[in-house]
Amino acid sequence: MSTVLTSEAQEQLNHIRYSRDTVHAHSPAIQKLFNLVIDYVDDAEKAGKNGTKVIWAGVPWAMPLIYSAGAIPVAFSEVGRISGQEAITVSEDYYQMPAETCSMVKATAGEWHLRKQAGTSITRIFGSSSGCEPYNLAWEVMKKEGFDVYTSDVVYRAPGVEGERYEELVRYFVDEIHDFNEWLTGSREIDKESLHREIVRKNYLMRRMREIMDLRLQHPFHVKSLGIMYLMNGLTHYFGKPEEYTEVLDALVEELSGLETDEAERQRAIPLIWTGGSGQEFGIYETIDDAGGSLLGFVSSPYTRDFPEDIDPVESVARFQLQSQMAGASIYRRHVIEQQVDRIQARGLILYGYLGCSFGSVTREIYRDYFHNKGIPSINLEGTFQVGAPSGQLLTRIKAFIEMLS
Amino acid sequence: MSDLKEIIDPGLLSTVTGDIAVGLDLGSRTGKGVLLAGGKLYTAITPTGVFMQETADKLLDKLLKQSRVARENIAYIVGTGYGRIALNFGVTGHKIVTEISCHAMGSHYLNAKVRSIVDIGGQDSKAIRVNPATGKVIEFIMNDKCAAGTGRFLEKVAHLLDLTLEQLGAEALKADAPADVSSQCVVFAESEVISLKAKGVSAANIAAGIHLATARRVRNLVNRIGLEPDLVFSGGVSNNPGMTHALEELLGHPISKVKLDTIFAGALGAAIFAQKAASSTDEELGDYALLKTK
Ligand code: SF4
Repeated sequence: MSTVLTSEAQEQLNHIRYSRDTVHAHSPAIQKLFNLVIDYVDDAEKAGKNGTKVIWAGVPWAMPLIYSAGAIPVAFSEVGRISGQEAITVSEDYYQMPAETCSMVKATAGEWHLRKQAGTSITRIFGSSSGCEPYNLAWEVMKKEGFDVYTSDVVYRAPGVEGERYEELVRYFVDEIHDFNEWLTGSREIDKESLHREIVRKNYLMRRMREIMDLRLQHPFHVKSLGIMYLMNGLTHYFGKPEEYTEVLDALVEELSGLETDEAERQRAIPLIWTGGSGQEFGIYETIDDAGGSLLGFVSSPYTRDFPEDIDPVESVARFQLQSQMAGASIYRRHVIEQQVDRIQARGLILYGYLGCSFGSVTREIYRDYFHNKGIPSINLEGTFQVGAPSGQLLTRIKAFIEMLS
Repeated sequence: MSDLKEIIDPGLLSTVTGDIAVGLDLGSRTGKGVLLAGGKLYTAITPTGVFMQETADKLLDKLLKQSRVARENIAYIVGTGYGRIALNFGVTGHKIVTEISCHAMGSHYLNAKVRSIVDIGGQDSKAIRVNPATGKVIEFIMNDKCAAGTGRFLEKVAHLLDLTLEQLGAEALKADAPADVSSQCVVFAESEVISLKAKGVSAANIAAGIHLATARRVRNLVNRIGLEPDLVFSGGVSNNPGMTHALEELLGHPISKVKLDTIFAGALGAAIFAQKAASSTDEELGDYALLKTK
């Protein structure tokens, strides 16, 4: 199916092309990355038509498992890039979702509806339940729409959970992973060899990403904000093409390693950390670049530690998740932010979330307070998940924030 | 037209150079301009039209006429405010800087001791903390999600009370028992105003209640960044005496008197930035690295 793109999404696509061809004209690796971005959903749809198992997947920990089963995940985060106001209207008018519902939920539900109508080949959805009430509503809606929806339970590691309680969580999680596998493949039996291979791949890619982030400290403007955002997003799902994504990271390491250090460039950059989802209002990234900011720290995608390779791979997935910043309590992510602040000597934090997400707004306030007391200023940005121009005020804020740090 | 000596903080007067510089602050409702030339400060104001460039050109024309400065003698222009993105001044050197930095710098030049600013405009309100040593922003917070605490809200209420926006503030000062307006949402406040009217509450008391409700919203912003004296009130709503009164009451702190209508604070800050940009190379700008950017 060729993607049903609204005019807003077409514009977004043009922006990506512009970033590929003009802003990153100097970087073949980033150009390749943007090609993966552009083709992701279309190619997954084609693969689905040709008989490959393709699912919408909104659960980052499951990605290695999905690949190990020979399936392709299409991350929910990509829905934002292709859906516009039309999808929101479907959710608000047809499904009667209140206007103040999170734009991520409205955009995804509306976009799935529109794709169903257009004859999509991706008719299965894997999400996580209980974590987000608006999404729970969306699952019900999508089931009625005829999608095969499966949700796994959120495994939440409260602050300070250790010892036997922690081991219990691991066992529970392992069980959840088997349940998911059954929905995905029809069997609880997991192909452990294949999963191990995926874990090794993931570790390799995360190591590559760490190298890239280190090299970027010397060349903060080689990859611009939009480029780094997609590079990080890809670390979760590889845009459906693990080999090609690996080539991007390898090529970028090579590119950055070959550059001569430009001290002036390094001095000029204002090191910033981004935490939270990726906004679809690309103007935000452009504004950061134009104002001299450089996103040198990233806290959305866990890449700072490896999956254990010497244990049962299913358990490895469970332990990786429960040890990571995604374990649940906000303190785990806070630790990662702190490490990044020290690592890049951050001058400011960008806390980004979607309008209407009450979970996100509470954590952002916690972080704001905490880092404020440590002398690290932050800016709390709320944007929309679906494509569209950012509001003037959003851009004013971000620009003023960077002016303030300059 | 005024003498710079009378307006600018004496401690900073020597940093104002002889370069002819213009600051244009294109707000959502009103465009404001400041021109600095020959030791004098000129101001101009005009409603913001649909096309920002036209508004900017109109302001510039007014400033040039008043000052008798020839366009080609302008050393630099800085644009700021809601409409700044669209500005272009051809061969004359120009930059855009956010209104947050400009309000901070403008207020600093009016009173170098200023450390907090409340800026209420047509579309949003902001609380800004300023470094008194440099005039740079230390922290800011902005309410832009709804009309509460903005000029738009006051305008709406004025309309419901059959008053002009100017009359609304003056009316509020006549209140003897300000009405209790609990809602800070423009939609609900509207129905509250209608029911207060129906109960026979005077326009003065309703107006005072509305100003207090708006000021509460702004106080919440200020509390988040921490109020430190001196405090300046800038932006389009700053010359509304009802709002000044409500803010002073709620913040428990007097608003500093300065010698320029603070509706021009942003434009003055932009003009100061323009002077700095005119007389320095990018390298020398140092602290004002923002001027090196697009
Ligand atoms: S952004 Fe928040 S409300 Fe929206 S889907 Fe995510 S968790 Fe749920």
